[in-house]
Amino acid sequence: MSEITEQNKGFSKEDEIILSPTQQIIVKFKNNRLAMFGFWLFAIIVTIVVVTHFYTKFTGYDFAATDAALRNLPPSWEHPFGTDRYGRNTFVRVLEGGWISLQVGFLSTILSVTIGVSLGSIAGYFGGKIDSIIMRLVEVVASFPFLALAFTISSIFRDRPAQFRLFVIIGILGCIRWTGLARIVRGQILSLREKEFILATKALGIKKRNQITRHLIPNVLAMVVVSGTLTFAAAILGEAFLSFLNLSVTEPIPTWGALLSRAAQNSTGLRTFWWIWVFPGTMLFMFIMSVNLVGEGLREAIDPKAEIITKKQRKAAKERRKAEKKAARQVKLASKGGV
Amino acid sequence: MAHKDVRGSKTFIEVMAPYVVYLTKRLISLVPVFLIISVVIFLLINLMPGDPVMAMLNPQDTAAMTIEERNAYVETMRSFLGYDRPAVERYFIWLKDTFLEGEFGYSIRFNRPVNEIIGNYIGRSFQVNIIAFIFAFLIAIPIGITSAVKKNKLYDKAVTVLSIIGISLPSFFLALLLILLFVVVLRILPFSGRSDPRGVLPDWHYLVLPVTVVVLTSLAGLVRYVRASMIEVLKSDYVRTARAKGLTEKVVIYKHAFQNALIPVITLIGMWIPLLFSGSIVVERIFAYPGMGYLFSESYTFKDRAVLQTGLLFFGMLTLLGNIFIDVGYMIVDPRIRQGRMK
Repeated sequence: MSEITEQNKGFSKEDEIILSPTQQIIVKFKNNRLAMFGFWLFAIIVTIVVVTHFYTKFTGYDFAATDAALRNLPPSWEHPFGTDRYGRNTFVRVLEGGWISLQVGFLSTILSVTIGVSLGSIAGYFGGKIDSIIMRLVEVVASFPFLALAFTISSIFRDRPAQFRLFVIIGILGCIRWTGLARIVRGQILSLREKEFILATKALGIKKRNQITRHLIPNVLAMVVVSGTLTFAAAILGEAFLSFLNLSVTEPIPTWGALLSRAAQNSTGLRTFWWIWVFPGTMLFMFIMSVNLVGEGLREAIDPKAEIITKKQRKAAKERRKAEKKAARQVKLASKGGV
Repeated sequence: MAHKDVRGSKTFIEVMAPYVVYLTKRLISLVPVFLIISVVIFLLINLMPGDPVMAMLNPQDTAAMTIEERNAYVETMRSFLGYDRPAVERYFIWLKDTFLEGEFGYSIRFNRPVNEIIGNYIGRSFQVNIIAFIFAFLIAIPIGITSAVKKNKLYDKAVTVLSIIGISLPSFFLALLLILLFVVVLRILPFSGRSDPRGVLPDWHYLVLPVTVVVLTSLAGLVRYVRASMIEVLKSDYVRTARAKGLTEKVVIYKHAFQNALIPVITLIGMWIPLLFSGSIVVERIFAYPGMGYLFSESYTFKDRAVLQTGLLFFGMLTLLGNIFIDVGYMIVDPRIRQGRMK
């Protein structure tokens, strides 16, 4: 908002409280409408998915149970997302598919962030030979085609039980997607380790491990959180790809990708039984979008140069624009009237 | 070479020498990386369950044989394909055949050497991806630049929202939506495949949907990248200097900033190099388009190890070459980096 000058920024007494960096991030995030939309969308989807998962678990809902009388029914109140060709309720299956996505997303992100941050910080801090070995490793891992590698590993474990395969998928996604994060962390730490505060820690005789974990990593944490959010979105997308190709958890446990792949087999089913693929596809899309929106919002929020535009200011700016328009119109009218 | 004029007295060889030295160094540093990649690929492929020789047997051929004859036949095939040797030896034979003799192995699915079949598949993938590549860049660069120039205006906000939607849309969901629209409802495009599945000539009708999906799914990421790079350039000192000199905004943006904002696009091109030849497994599967991605996923079903090994190695090699392209490209266009590397 370039119109807002220093005088009318709308500060009151309450605004003069000095905010800590974390508080600033929170304030900036809360005032970003897109990010908040993403946040609430994410929260709602996660809540519904988690509640449904535990509800079906405790009531003993059988995902394999079929009912010939209910085959291929279009959406109705009883079956909000319709039923599939075995007479199973798509609504419950879509939400349970979300549970798989959530598990994959969280666990593989934790894994890749752990690997990325620890290797990246070690490479950045020690430099020299250790750095070049780790960066070669990054290069090796990054030059594998993700899907093809996942394909191969997953087909090695093709005959194992579903739960085991789920962890294989999490392992694959976690062990491949850490390279970008490792590069970012290394780059940051390379420049941070030359700063005075690290010299101070050295002078104080603080252990190398503590220099890294207590002094260097907290300084890159904000960036790690942003990158972690994007990794989370990528992991969910990756799992959906794999289950779309039938390489993830298999029937009767539903996943979003697998639900979509049923529809891809012929073009008539695509239209007649649209509810089978449109709902899981939309859920997948909305979920990934919500995560991306949060990630984008966080990235803007951690940027110290980005200014905070609060609701109050936005409202004020809107009213000012309105008033300006009104004034302009009146001037126009007046000039017309004058002629 | 444009540098020759600037440096007047230097000969062509003198100008080129640092590049050659750098390139050689970089290529040598890649050898160990490449060996590790090849070991991992070999291990993974050989860990896949199932006996490749048994998978290759045609029931019709072996039906008339007695058990002894069949066993003898299997043993002959095994030694013909080299599967009777220990794994370590097979690895070195594979390396030797691939790099010294240019033989990529024998496909048990096609019953032909991999060399003969892989070219057509690469060619077909290349068609889709090169067209998609050109379209994606032609659309993404202007959008990214204009959006950065109009930062925080309505246009930029719309681009930001649309690109977030774009990066969140899974390619297979988009493909299904497009199929529903163009194939099932409007009936103006064919569903899948090619009219001539074995040929390599472009098959325009069948290319439309795969190309559209690849363009739309990669567009959002490209736009965000170009936009971020342009914003970075607009913040830099020389742009401020240009403005301070009193140049018009148009000259500042399109003459001073624009060219430099395109430098990071080299990274994008480098990242696309492996994708150009390999094709997307998901897109090619949905459209049953017989390119590398399709060949790849089919080869898993048939446990066609020679094709899988070749494909993975090929992709790994292209990725590494893409990285070199990025490094050398930066060196050519960016004098700051050139100075740093030549020291």
